[in-house]
Amino acid sequence: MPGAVSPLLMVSPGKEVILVSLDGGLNFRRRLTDMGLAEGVRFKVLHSQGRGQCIVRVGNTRLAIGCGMAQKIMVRET
Amino acid sequence: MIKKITIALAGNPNCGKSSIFNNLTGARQHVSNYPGVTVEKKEGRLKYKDYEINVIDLPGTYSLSAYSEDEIIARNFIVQREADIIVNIIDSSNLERNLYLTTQLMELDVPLILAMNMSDIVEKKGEHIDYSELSKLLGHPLIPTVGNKNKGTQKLLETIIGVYEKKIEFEKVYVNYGAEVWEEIDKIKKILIKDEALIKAYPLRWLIIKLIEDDRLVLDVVEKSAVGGEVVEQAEKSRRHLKAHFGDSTDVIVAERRYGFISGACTQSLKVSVEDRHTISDKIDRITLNRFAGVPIFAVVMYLVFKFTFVLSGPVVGWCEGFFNWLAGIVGGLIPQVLLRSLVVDGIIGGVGGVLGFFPLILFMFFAIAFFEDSGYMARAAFVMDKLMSKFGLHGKSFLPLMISTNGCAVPGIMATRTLENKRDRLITMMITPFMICGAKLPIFALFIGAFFPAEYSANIMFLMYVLSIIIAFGCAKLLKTLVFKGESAHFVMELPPYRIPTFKGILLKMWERGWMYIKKAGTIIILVSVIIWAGFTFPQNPVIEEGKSLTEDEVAALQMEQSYAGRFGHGIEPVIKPLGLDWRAGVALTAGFAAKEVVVSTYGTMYSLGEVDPEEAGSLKESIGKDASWNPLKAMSFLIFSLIYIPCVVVMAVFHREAGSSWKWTSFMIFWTTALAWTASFIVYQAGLLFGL
Repeated sequence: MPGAVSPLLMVSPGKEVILVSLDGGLNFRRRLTDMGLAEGVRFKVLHSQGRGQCIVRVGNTRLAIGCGMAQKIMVRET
Repeated sequence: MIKKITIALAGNPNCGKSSIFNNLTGARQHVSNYPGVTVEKKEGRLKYKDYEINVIDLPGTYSLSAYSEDEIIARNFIVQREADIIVNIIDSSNLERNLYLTTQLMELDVPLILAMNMSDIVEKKGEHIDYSELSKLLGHPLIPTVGNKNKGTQKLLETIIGVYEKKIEFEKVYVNYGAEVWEEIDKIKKILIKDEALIKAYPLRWLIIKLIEDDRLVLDVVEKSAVGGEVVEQAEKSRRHLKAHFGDSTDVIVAERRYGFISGACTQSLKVSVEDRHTISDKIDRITLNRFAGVPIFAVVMYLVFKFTFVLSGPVVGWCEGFFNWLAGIVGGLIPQVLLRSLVVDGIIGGVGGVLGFFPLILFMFFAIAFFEDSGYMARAAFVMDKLMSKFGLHGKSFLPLMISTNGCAVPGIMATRTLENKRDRLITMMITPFMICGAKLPIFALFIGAFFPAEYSANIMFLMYVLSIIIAFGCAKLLKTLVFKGESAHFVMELPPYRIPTFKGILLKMWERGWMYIKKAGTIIILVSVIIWAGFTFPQNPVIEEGKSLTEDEVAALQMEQSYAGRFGHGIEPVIKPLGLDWRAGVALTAGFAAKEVVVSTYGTMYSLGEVDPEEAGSLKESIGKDASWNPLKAMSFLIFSLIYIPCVVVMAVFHREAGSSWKWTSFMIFWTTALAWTASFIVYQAGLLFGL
C-alpha cells in the first residue's frame, strides 16, 4: 500500500521516499530537477537539520538542501 | 597544414572538468573538491599531430537552463556553437544525474564526445558500465577517463580528431518526448523556420524545447526576432494544451521524459550492486553535519587551522625576519652612496622585506586551507553555515566567496559570487567579501599582534580577529538586507562531494600556486609602491631645524620624515584619525594601503628603517614597533580594526566595479560605506578603551 504524501520536512532520516511533486515556482522546480530531484525519482533522506534543511542521496549524489525548501518537496514514503 | 579545432569542455560542477583540461593542455588550473571552482571560461592550447586544439574549460552547469552568471557563460558559449566539438565530461559514478545535461547537449546537433570521467571510482564501487552499449544508446562516442590520474587523455584526443575529420560517426539519438509533445514541437517549428537569422544563431531543436519548457532567457531572445510575437503565442498555446493533456506543467513533462530516457539507457548498460551502501562519507557526515554540533565543529576546525598556522610558522617567520635584517646589514655595507643605500636598505629591503617576512605564515595558512578544500569538507561547511547565514539574510552559497577571500584574496572571492543566482544575494555577498582577512591583510595583523601581545596568545587573538571579521560581514549583510535589498533569497541546493583524502602533491601544488602569487605581488607592485613611499619620506631633504637646538642623529631623522612630502601629507590627515588614537604615520600607511594591503606593512618597514640611523641597532620590524613609545595595545587594536574594515585595495575595487555591472553608484557606496564604518568602529573601540582606562 502506498504511503501518504507528506512534505520532505516530516520525513525522518534513513527513510526512502519517492518524489511526488515540487510545490514551488518554476525556478525552484527546475533547479531541483536539474540536480536530479525530479518527480518520480526515488531517494533517501540521510540527515535532517530542522528548519527545512536536509541532506538526501539520489543515486550516488549527495545533495544538501537549504533552509525553507524541504516543506515544498512533497514525497511518499516507500 | 596545421588544422585548428576548438573544443569546449562542458559538464556538471565538480565532475573533474578542470583536471581533464589540465591533462589536455598541461595547464595547472585550480582543481578542488567542491562545486563551482571554475566561474569563468578558461582557454588553453595544445598541439597534437597536425592539429592545434584550442580547449575551452566552461563553468560547471547542471543543465542548459541557466540561472547564475557562471552558468549563463557556459550555456551561451555552448548554444551559440562557438566550438567545433563539445566534450561532455561525465562523472561516471553519478551517471543518471550527469546524463541529464547530456540529453540537452544532444539536442544541440553539434559534434559531441562523452568523456566518462572518474571511471576508476565506478569500478571500485563494484559497478560495471558497458561503455559500447551506452555509447550506442546515447548515439555518441564515449571514452572512459580518469582525470586525476591522467588516464584516457590520448584516446580522447584521437576521438576528437576522428570526430572532427568525420571518421567516427554515430546514428543520432534523441529523447522521445512522445507524440503529443512532438505535435506541438512541429507547430512551433513551422513558425520558427521562417526566421533564418534566428535558426542560424541557435540550434532549432533546442530552441523549440526550451520554448516548451518556458525558459525565460530563451523567450526573451525569441521575442526580439522577426517572428517573435507569433512564436511566443504558439508556444504559450502549446504549453497550455500539454498542461491540460498531462495535468502537469511542461517543464515537468520534459524533465520526466529526459529522466525516462536516461534510466532506460542506464538499466541497459549499468550493472549495480543493489545493497544499500553506508559509505564512509555518510558516517563522517553524521558527525560533521550534526544538527547541533555542525557549527561548533566548523569553528573548531577553523581554530585548529589558525593554531596550526601560527604555532608552526612562528619560528620560520623569525628566521625570515632575521634573514632580511642580515641582508640589510650586508647590502648597506656594500653601497657607499648615501641616497642609493637608503633606497635599497630602507625602501626596498625595509619595505618588501617586511612583507616577505610573513611569507612562511602565508604558506602554512594556504597549506591548511588547501587540505580542507580538497578533502570535501568545505562544501559541508557551506551547508552547516547556511542555517546561520540565512538568519543574516545571506545565502549558503555566499559562504564559498567568503572562504576564498579569507584564504587568499578578495578578487577571486568576488569572482566566485557568480555562482549566486539571485542578483541581490550576489551584490550583498560582493559587498561583504572584502571584509574578510585576506592574505594581504594577514601580515598587518601578524605584525601588530606579534608586537603587542604575548606570543602564546597570538593564534587566539588572530582567531578572534577572524571571528570579528565574520561578525562585521554578517552584520553588514543583515543591515543591507533590511535596508537596501529587501526580498527573498534564492534556494540553496548544493552537491556534497564524497570525502577524499587529499594528495600531498595536490596540496603542495595549490599552496605553492597561491604562495607564488604573493611573492609575485611583492616583487612587482609592492616594490614599486615601497620605492614611491621611500621617496615620499626622503624628499625634500635637509629638514628645517630650529635655531640653537642641537639634535641627535635619530631626532634629525625623525624630523626629516615629518617634514617630507609624505610626512606633510600624513600631518594633513592626522586630525581625521586622531580620535581613533592614530597619528600621521598611520595616516600615510593606511592611505598607501589602498594600493595593496601589504603596503601598510611595507610602509611601516620603510619608516622604521629610515628612523633607525644605526643599522646595528635595528631589530625586526615587530621589535621596532613594539619598542616605539607612541604605540600602545589599545592604539594597535584601533589600528587593526580600521585596517580590517576600511576601503578594499584598488584591484578589489576595480573587480567589484566590473562585477557589480559597472555601477558607479555601488562603487561609490562601497568606498563611502567601508571608510565610514571603519572610522566609527575604531572610534568606538579607542574611546571606550580610554574610558575604561586602558
